[in-house]
Amino acid sequence: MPAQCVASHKMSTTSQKHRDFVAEPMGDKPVTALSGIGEVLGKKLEEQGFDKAFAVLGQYLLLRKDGELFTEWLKDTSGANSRNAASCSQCLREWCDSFL
Amino acid sequence: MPEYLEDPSVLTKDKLKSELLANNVALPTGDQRKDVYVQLYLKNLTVQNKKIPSTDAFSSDEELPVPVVSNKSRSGRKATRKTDKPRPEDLDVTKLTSEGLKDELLKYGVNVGPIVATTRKLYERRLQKLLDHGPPETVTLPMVITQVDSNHNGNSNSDRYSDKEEEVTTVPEPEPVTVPVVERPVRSRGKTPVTTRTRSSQHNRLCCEEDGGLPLTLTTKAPSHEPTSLLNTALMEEPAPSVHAPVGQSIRPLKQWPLVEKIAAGEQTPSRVDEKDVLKEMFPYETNTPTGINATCRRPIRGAAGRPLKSGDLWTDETLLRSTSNSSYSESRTATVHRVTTLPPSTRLVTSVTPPAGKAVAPPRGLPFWLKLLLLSVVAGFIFFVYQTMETNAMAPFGGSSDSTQTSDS
Repeated sequence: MPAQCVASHKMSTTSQKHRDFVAEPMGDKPVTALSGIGEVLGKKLEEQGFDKAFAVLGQYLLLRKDGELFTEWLKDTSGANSRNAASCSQCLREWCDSFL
Repeated sequence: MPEYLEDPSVLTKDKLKSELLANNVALPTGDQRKDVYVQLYLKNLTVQNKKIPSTDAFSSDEELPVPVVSNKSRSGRKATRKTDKPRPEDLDVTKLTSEGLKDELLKYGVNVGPIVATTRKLYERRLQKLLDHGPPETVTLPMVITQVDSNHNGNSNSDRYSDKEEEVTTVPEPEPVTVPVVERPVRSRGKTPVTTRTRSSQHNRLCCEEDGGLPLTLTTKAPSHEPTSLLNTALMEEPAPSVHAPVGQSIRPLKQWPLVEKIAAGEQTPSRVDEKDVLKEMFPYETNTPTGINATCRRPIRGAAGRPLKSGDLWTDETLLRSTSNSSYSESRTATVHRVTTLPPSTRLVTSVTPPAGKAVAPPRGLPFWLKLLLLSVVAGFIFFVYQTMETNAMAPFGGSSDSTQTSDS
């Protein structure tokens, strides 16, 4: 909503986890290395068969790197909330920008 | 099989709606133009009339668009749509093959990836959403586009805004045009409105910068999801107080605003339902006015323009304290220059004007002056004490306090 406009230029703040992930090839990192994916979500993803970060990356690529679809998928699969899903999506997008 | 009309436009809109509903056709949300329902009718019902089952439509893609197109031409409707997406509404997305699903989505311009187990559900959902919003999109989009085009060129609109104030634009203005629209009629009315505009903008800026009283919030009910920076700052500065402002403090009619208000009022259209809802959420406390403009008057600046000062007019407790103490001082002496320099600049306004009639009464709030002096002396003494203890032993003019610490230091 535009009520908060003047000085609040929306800068997306990235977490340390995000920065760590995006900084190097993901290799064999577990799914919990993804930004926005913690213990609980990680476990749920593993149950679905996405035990490694690259598997989730695979899904992201399957969806043609569509952030919206990916967040939808993530919410469905792991029960993530919007914030975590968006964070993960952004994390993967930036990783792809650097390494793909 | 019931026979459906070839030319549904002979029916009334309500009849069309009921026919569609009777045949389980999803209607677009909101009240659409009759055209929309006619098309829906044609797409869904007249197609069925031709005994082409919808589920098989996708295996014979070539046949489906043709009868629909021919139907449209027969009905004699003007081609309002530039992008044609002849889609029967009664698609069952779950029954589509992955190929079909992909094709459907491609027609909506979606970047579709492979339809596999994990992606299928998502794409089905996406397609369903698109189908639901589909028909209204195709009809309303071109309209919006033409509106935008006509509004971006300021010259073409100059004839729309005559001197008659009651002339309102029937076309709902798109959002980013709000400011130029307000500016244009101002320009067309000659010089004075321009000056009022600049003055009002200055005034607005002043309102915000001074941070005193309550700035005038000129909230128009125009579709302004991206309002100008002026309005922004006006809204941002004091969003809460301005909304709850007790306007009854002293309502002074500000003469430079009425003209701007009238101009803005002239631009209002009564048919801004959607934007009004959004704005109602944003500003729940705004009263309903016929023009849609709510202007909260600014509190007069006490101490300016010869207005007498009152203790209740001052902004913060701190300044209140200082000013009240200062006002009691200024009664006794006129030269308050050295006083002024020690005070923050905001209270210079207070001291430079003739103080109110003798307010020797103790201030209603804040500490009495003697108490403040006492505190000051205590604090000063403490600081001095600290200073002394930190002093090197070579100086030590005051033997008492430094003696004990000297031993600890050395």
